[in-house]
Amino acid sequence: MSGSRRDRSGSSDPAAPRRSAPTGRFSLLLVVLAVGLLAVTGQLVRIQVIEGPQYAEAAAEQRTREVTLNPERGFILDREGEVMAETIPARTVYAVPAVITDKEATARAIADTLGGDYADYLERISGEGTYTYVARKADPARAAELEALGLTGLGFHDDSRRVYPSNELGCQVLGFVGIDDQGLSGLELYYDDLLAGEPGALIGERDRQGRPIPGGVAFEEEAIDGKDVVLTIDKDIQYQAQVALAEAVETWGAAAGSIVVMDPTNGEILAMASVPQYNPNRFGEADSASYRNRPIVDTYEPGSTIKSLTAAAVIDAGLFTPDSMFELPPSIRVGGRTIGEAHPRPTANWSLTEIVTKSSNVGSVKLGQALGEQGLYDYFSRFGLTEKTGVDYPGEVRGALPPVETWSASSVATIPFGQGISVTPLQLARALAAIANGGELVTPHFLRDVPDTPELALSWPKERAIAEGTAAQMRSVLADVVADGTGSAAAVAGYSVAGKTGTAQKARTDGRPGYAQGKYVASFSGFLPADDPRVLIIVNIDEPSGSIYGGTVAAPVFSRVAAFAVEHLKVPPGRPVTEGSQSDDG
Amino acid sequence: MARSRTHRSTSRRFFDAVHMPLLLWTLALVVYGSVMVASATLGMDGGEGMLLRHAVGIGVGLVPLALAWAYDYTRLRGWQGPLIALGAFLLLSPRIPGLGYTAGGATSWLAVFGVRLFQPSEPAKLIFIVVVAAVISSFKGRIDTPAEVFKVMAYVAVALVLILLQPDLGTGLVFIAITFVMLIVGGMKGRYFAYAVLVAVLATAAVLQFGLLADYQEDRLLVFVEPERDPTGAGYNLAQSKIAIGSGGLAGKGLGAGTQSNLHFIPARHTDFIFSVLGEELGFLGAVLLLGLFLALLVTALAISTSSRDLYGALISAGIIGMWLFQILENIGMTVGMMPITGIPLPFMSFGSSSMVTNLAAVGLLLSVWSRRYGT
Repeated sequence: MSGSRRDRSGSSDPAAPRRSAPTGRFSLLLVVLAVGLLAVTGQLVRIQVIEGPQYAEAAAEQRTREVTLNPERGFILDREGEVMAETIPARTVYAVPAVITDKEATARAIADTLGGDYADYLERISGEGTYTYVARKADPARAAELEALGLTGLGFHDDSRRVYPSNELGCQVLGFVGIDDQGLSGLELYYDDLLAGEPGALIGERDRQGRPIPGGVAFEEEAIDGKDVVLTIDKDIQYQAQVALAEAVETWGAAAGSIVVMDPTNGEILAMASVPQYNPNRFGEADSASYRNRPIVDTYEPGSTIKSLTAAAVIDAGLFTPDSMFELPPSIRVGGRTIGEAHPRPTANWSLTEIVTKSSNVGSVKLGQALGEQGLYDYFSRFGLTEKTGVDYPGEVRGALPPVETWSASSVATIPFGQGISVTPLQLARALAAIANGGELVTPHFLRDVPDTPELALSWPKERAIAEGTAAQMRSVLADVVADGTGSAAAVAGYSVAGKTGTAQKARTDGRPGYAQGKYVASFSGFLPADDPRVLIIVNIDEPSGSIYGGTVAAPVFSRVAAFAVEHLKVPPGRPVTEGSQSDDG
Repeated sequence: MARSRTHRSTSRRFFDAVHMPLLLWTLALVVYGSVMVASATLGMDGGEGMLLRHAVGIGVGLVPLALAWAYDYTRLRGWQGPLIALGAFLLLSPRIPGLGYTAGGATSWLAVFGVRLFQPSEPAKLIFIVVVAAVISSFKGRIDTPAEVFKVMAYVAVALVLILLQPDLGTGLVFIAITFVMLIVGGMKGRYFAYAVLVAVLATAAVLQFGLLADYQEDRLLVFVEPERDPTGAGYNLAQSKIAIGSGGLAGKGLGAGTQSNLHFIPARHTDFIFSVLGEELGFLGAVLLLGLFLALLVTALAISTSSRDLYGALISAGIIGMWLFQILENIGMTVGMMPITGIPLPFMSFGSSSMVTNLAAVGLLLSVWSRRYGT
């Protein structure tokens, strides 16, 4: 430095050193030195000052990593706490194709351990990509086997998988989830918010190996696991209902079928099934028609079943009593249409009860005419036929009951016996429940409880449809249907059963008006014990062959399921339904 | 009066012997280096032990500094034979069974019973400087015959062969740089430099052609030319170093607060890549401060070289300048992507006792040259 220079050039000193080497050589060194250090400084200006912000960004990017913490999806339990849908550990296998050198051997190893198609795996890992799934949510044991081979370019991470341990049981009710555990259908979809939980996030600092740095967490939000959901479904009743329905559909060579088992007092759905069915564990392999939860998403013309509502309406309106007598001709002409009976008969004098038990069309027309168009509409409206039931299930539809203004001259005659009106089986169940429970319209539902969630107040509204007395009289009428009417096959030993058969023609589906030849829906709807109903069942068999009658095709299914249900629920046998039972209560 | 004159001359002799600026710059660099090593090793397993070892290295280095300072360098000429033998032994020692220790692909450590002692190639640099200085100084400041050139080249060639046996490419390059600077000061004709460059280019081509380099060495060199060659290997080091330094910006992230260094993104951050830590934590200003200190050290050494009483002392000083200058430019240059990556420590800054002791001994040699500038 300057100090040393001064020392060297201190010429006043007699002992000044002679130059040991020509100055030029040192100057050359000085230049080399200066140029070198200047070049380095220049580079520092470039990367620290000019490009500094970019490098700072690159630094932040590589040392932080956002990780999504997946919550565990809640279980779905039946009313007794038995598992209907659960979440189990799984392993997801991914590949970095770019670093896999022996693609064939790797694909072979994957197929051998995980199962599946060799060619499919080979295609996935071919190419030079940096990330591709090999198998999502694989069985942990099989994945461990593959992992133990230590193949280059394969990675593994923990995952979870939705499993339906009872396979087809309650499939349409439960629905299924997608690959990211998101509810796609059924209750999995409807209660997705409860079941899914909240994913957490972790923005962690990591080192060059990608390991999280202890204490280096910039942000962490724990995942909140999904809630378990307890359903009103009873797994055992569901099983009986599903099996009985499937057998009936098979026996009668029917196209489809559905069944609803409900507690009429509160709307709790004990079982619901549809045929065709599918296995939600492998829903991708099934025809999407089997996904249909028919009692909620399909409508049909209810036919004779509706006569019980018509009868209830005239009693509730104070027009008639169950004993009122009617003179019924073989057929009746209304609005240009001639309406006869399913089984032709001569002119008869039948009571209101007999009109129902013998399922008389002509009698129903008379009841409908007595109510009038508006009266009929109002009562059906009070039975909930103009609205959705409000069930906690996605995609509910409601049937069609057109407003009075659009009725044809014959509507007031056909609607009372179930033509020109459509409902869903669940709408019918709800309407019938009002007769069963003393006149209240309940809200059918699947959700019984969400444990440990006091903030979730469940309420299932009820509203009055008909008077209690009307309901009691109608229960008595409907008990006669099974005791000595068209529904005798629905009887359950030891119990008095109330119900109504239905044999409805199906409307044409080819766009032309009228009914399809030979296509019927055979149904039975009823409840038991008749005097204090605890179980209400609606059975529909769609397009049966061999027999078309609800009393033949559907009533036995009702009987079988009802017998099991009352036994399983330990429902005490009721007393015979008489007027006396009412007065006893009073 | 006489007493006062005596006093004045005594004090003057003392201050003549002490080159205050050189000691000051050395001290500043050692302190700066210690701070950076402390910062770099803070979060490491056994970081405190490393810092202690660094301090021990400095303490041990003061011994050869004092000895070299006290010893009249001109008398080293008489030890030419033994020095050549010692230098050769040092360079060969890692290859002697039972004494060598392999780290990072090179057997460049001397070990006894498996305990790493030091890297013999570090002190060998100084011995090489002293030996070659004696050879070149015998040409009296003019190297103008091929015989003289070949004589110097013979020494260099032997040393290089021994080094490349280890193999330690970086140290070999330091020897070449030392020779180059000493030849400038020794008065080699420009034409011979042109030949030397030509030979160097041909030799490099031959080395690459015949695969004489270890794979990792070839990778490091070629990555410099083609950074995408191996983004996670040698190129990764360079990329991480640049990210660290670049993210330091103007003022840095603060001592001990370098995220890239503390999170182990920077390879060998306390040794070869200590400058990356400095650049990240102290920013452009800290880096410029270091470059300023190095500039001061080198200019001071240059001044000592020019003021040497003989060509021998000037050449020894020049060799030391060549050693430092090359190591500084190569080490910092590699961390900012201007030079290929080699395992050369940054003088006074990098963790490592061998290097620290050698550099302090070099300061002792410079002080010896300075304090004897008035001799006959």
